[in-house]
Parts: sequence; C-alpha cells; structure tokens
Amino acid sequence: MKKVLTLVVLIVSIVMLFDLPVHAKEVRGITNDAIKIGVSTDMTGPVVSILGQMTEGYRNFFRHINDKGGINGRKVEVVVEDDRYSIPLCVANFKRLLYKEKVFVFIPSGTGQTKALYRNIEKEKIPTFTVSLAEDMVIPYRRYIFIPSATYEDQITLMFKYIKEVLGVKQPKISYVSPDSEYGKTGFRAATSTAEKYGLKLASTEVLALGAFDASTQAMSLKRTKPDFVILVEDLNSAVAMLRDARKLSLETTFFGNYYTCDDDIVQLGGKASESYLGVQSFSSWHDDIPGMKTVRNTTLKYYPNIKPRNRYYMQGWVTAMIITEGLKKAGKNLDTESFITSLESIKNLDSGGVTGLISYSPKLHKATEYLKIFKPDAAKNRLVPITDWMKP
Amino acid sequence: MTSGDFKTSYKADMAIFQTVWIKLWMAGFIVFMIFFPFWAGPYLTYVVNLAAIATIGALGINILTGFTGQISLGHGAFIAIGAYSTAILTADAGFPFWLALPTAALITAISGLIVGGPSLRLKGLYLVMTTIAFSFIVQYVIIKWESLTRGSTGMGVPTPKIFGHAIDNDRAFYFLIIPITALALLFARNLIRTKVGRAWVAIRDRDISAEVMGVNLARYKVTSFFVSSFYAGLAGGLYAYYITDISPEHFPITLSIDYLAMIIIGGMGSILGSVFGAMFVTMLPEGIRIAADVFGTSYPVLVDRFFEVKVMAFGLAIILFLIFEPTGIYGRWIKTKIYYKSWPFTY
Repeated sequence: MKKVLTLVVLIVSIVMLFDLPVHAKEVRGITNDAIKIGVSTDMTGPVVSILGQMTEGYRNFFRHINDKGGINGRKVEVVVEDDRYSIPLCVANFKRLLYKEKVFVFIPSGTGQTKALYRNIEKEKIPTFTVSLAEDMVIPYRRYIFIPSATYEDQITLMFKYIKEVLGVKQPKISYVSPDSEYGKTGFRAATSTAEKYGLKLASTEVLALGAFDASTQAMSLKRTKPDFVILVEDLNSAVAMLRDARKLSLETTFFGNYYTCDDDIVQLGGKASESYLGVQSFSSWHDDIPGMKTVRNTTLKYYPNIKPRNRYYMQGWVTAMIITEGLKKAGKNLDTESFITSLESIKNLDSGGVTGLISYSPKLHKATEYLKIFKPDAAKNRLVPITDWMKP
Repeated sequence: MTSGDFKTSYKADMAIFQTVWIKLWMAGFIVFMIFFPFWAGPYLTYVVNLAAIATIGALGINILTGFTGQISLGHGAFIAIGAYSTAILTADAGFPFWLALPTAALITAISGLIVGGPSLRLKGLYLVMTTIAFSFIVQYVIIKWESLTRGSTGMGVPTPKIFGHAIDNDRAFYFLIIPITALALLFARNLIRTKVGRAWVAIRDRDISAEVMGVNLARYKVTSFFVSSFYAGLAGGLYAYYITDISPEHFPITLSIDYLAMIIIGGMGSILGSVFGAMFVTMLPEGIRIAADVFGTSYPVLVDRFFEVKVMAFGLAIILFLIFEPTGIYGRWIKTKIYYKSWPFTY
C-alpha cells in the first residue's frame, strides 16, 4: 500500500511539473551592443568544400560591417557549430544555438536539416536563412524561413527556356542525370513538368550517385539515346566523372549543370572534357569585373592577403549576410523578430552590385530572386565565363 | 560495526540493489533526475534525452552482441524500422501514442526474427555481412516504397499526446523518455539474470558447449534477435516522436557502427556499460567543448581547430579503449570501485 501511495504521489508531482511554464519570452539574441547569428554548418564532413567557404562568406561580410561601425550601433557576432551535414547534429546545434547562445537568426545546413526543424522554427519563431534552395522551403509560405537566391527548380526551368527560346532548338532531345536522392528527385519533378510545358518528353533518365568517380555505364546508355542536351543534377565529383567518361566514349552532347557544379573547379578538374558543359548559376564568379565583386575581392584580400580565389558558395554566404544586414538596418534600433521579418519582406530590388540578381522579398514569397546567368567554360582563362545577362526562368 | 556485506538468503544474493547505501544512492539519483531538467535548461535536457534514447538502442545491441555474441551491423536498420513504423502508424493509421510505440517495437522485433533466421547457420564475419546486407535492403525499401514511406522526402510524425497533454517540448519529452529508459534497463537487467540470459551468455562463450549442456541454440539465438530488435524499435520510435520529421538520411549505415562503438566504449556484456557508452558518445562533444573553453587561452589550437579536434578525439577514444580497457568504461568503473573498497590495502 505504501509503495502504491509513493508511486501515486510521484506520478502526480511529475504531471504537475509538465504544467509549469517553459522559459519566459524575450528578444533573444539582441543586446545593446551586439546581435548574435547562429550557423550550423559542415566544417569536417562531406560537403565542407561548399559549406566551409559559405561560412567564411558570412564571417567576412559581417567583419566588414563591424569594421564600418556595425548595424545601428550593434556589432554582429557569428556563432558557428559543426554538424558534419548530419540531421541529428544540426537539430542539436539548433537547440544549442537557440537556448544556450541565444541567437537572433539561424542558418541551418541543408534541405533535410531544415525540414527536420520546420516545426521547431515555427514554434520558436526564429528567423531562418536556409542554405537549401529547394522550392518547398518557401512554398507554401513559411513566415520565418528565407532563401537567399533562386531555387533548384528555377535553375532547371531556365535550362529549358535557354534551349528552346535562346538557342531556338525546335524539338530538343533532353536526357536527365541525377542521384537517386531527394536532391535528384526535386530536379526530376521540375524537369518533367517544364518539359511538359514545352510539349516535350525526357528522352531518358540515368542514376549517378553523388561523389561518383566512374560514369561509364551512364555514358554508354546516353550514347544509345543520343540526346542533344543532358541535364546534370549532381555534385562536382560526379559531374566531372560524367564529362570525362562522355568524352572517352566520344558522346556528342551538351551537359547542362546546375548550381552545385557550376563553379570554376569544373573547368580546372574536367580539363578538355568540360568543353561540353554549360552551367546555370545565381552567383557571379570571383573573377568577374563587376562593382559588387570588387568589394568582395578587396574586403576578403584585406583580411586574408594570401587567400586563393573563393568559390560561388562563398558568394552565397556573402549575399546571405548582406540580406540579413539590410533587414536589420531597416528594422531600426528597437527591433524584434516580427519587425525584422516585416522589414525583410519589404526589401525591394536590393542591389548586390552584380554578385547576384536584384533581391526582393514579399509577404507572400521568401525567395530572394529569380535571376540566373548561364556560364560556359573558357579554356584560356581556365574558368567559367557568363554568356548571358541575368535571366528569369 | 559490520565488517562486510554478508548474505543469508538467496533472495538477498540476487537482489539488484543490495545494500542500504546503494538504495539511498538510487533514491538520491531519482530525485536528481526529476529536478534535472529544471536546473539544466532545454539544451542539456535535449542532450540527455538523446543519450537516453541511445541507451535503449545500445541496450538492444548489447543484448545481441555483448551477451549473445552475435555481431550485428544491422542495428541502425532496426532503429529505422522502428522509427518508420511509429511514423506510419501515427500519421497514416491514426494510432495513439501508447499503442503506436509498442506496436512499432513489435513490428521491429518481428523483422528481427526474420534476420535472426540466417544466424542459425552463419557465424562471425558471415553474420556481419548478412546484417550489413539487411541494412542496405532496409535503406533501399525506405527510399523506393514511396507510397508508404514518402521515399527520400521523409515524413512528419504527429506530436504524441498523453492524457490530453501534448508532449511537444524537451522537458515534457524528458519525463516521457527517462521512465521508458528506466523500465527498459530494469527489464534487461532482470532478463539477463533469468534462464534466457544465462543461455545467451553460454552461447556467446562457446556455442558448442552450450548445445551440449542442452541450450536450444536456434531458440535462444532467435530470441536474442527478437529482444534486441524490440529495443531498437523502441529507440527508433521515441527518436521519431522526438525529432518530429524523419527521412532516410537519419539512418545511414554508419548509425550501426556508432551503436557498436557505444557498447565497445561502454562495455560489452554489461547493462550499465550500455548506459555509460551511450552517455559517453552523446556527451563527448560537450566535454571537449568545455575543455576547449578552459584550455583555449593556453592552447588556442583547441578553439581554432575545435571541429577537427572533436572528430579526432572520438576516434582516439575508441582506439584507446580497445587497447587499454577492452572491458569499456564499465570495466574501469568496477576496478575503481574495488580499489576504493579495499583502500588503503591493495588486497
């Protein structure tokens, strides 16, 4: 009887503990002289070449802003946590950054990571700039989630538009190559629906895993299909493997790569094989002669005089930081989460000096821009050069 | 004054908490655990919750590998089955929490029976290969069977409700996960002391001798797979509820290796070892962070290269344990206890 009584008392007290209020709300991450921004990113894992430089981008932009006196008298402090591109670690970092570091803005490391945090982001009302460019990050509308560029879907749509409307190919035969993951499937859905819009059908689809070193099977199969264009939704390694093996089998086609392959490395690694490559990108190159890029180069070289040219993902970091800064400036000295979101949603045609297209948000859509450029390799310069101006899909 | 802990009955000898002091310590520990989340705040509570879920998973693989000697690299796949069963039962079939979790664990246990089948013919490396193959099959099925699992997109898990209370924050989850973990520990501890547990240990130590003694190898090996997968299913189910959105990316092949690492570090063939291992692996990054904060001023490399140091420390811990303390933290714990018991005399 005594045991039962103890148990009952214990259960009742535990149930009562449930009802105690969780922490009182305050303007998290903002003090009189600082604004904290939390980043969960890959510093030691599989996509460090992309996310590592992106993180440098945030850091250097905010350092530049701090050196100019900060934002409305406050300095920006960037807190970085490593998640090795793993979802559970990113969720852990989210909690740490939010509850321990008390950050004002959060930047998660990928599509799966952001999706796993949807409910938490909504509940905690934390402004989030996701690294993922998947359309379903922002459609349907999520008040606290923003993306800093055009989406993966926009990139695919623009490829079709370029082939049909700019190159004027009447009945192009288009194949699709991607890994068998959500990243590949997102592209596949966009490719089939855009093809349908133009009254086309994909000639074939091939599966090529990310990080692959061999694509001869896929090249053989493409050789049988003989497509005019191949949409390549891959990462750098597998794209280079695809280009090389296609050249080995003297496959005559044009490979159209997206955001994650459209960087100067593809020319440097692919060599002659990259001649058959075209790429779609939201961000300009380090070498481009435009005012925005001059600021990027001068500032970065000021802090790190011996640094090698940074990649496009560095530019994404830079632009993300620029958008956050603009939102913070507009929200004024007495900002809170809601006024920050409202001021972000009021950004219209923010000019990055050509680092990316004009940036606008609206209270309905949190996609920064639709502008993209098409790039092609330049063997003499050993890098990609733009062949179009900013285009909308 | 008593000069030793002498037992006068079998009951006293078999008791889990043998002395008054241990009972007092346990009571103190329980009180500490009840107040812990109020003192620790949401982040530490989150870490402890994950460690508790990992403890249940580690118990599962310890039963199979540590007690029965069947090395498995398919534990991550069982955890995935548990998580997906819970998600599907809750989101699609509309099962309430109290029904979904045990059902999911049972489904996982039944899939464990299927994998357990080949273990009757396969041993050692061959069994490892079979379980790895099973992991790949599970991964493939989850990605391909889109109508059921939503494929690589992943699926959301509704918030569990108990007596009308929505369990939707770290503290509420703490009071859900910790009691379940305690029950799981108690059940495993008791199971090991029964005929079944002894049969498992006999199979681990030498299966031929076990069979000669009359242990039904087929039955006990399959039971071990069943119980081990049940635990994995439980851990997976709780994980799904806690993380709220699961996809195949949550359950990579390396998850099985992580669990194996936990019991190697904690101590194979020991219940307490599972707890130590799970705690150590989940808490190690926090420990290194504290070290980096404390020693950061004299060794700035710890701060600059924090992320690399963290990964290296983890690898180093496993290597050092394998070389210097193959019995894991549990073995070290026992040695330390004996040392203080007989202090200042070494005998």
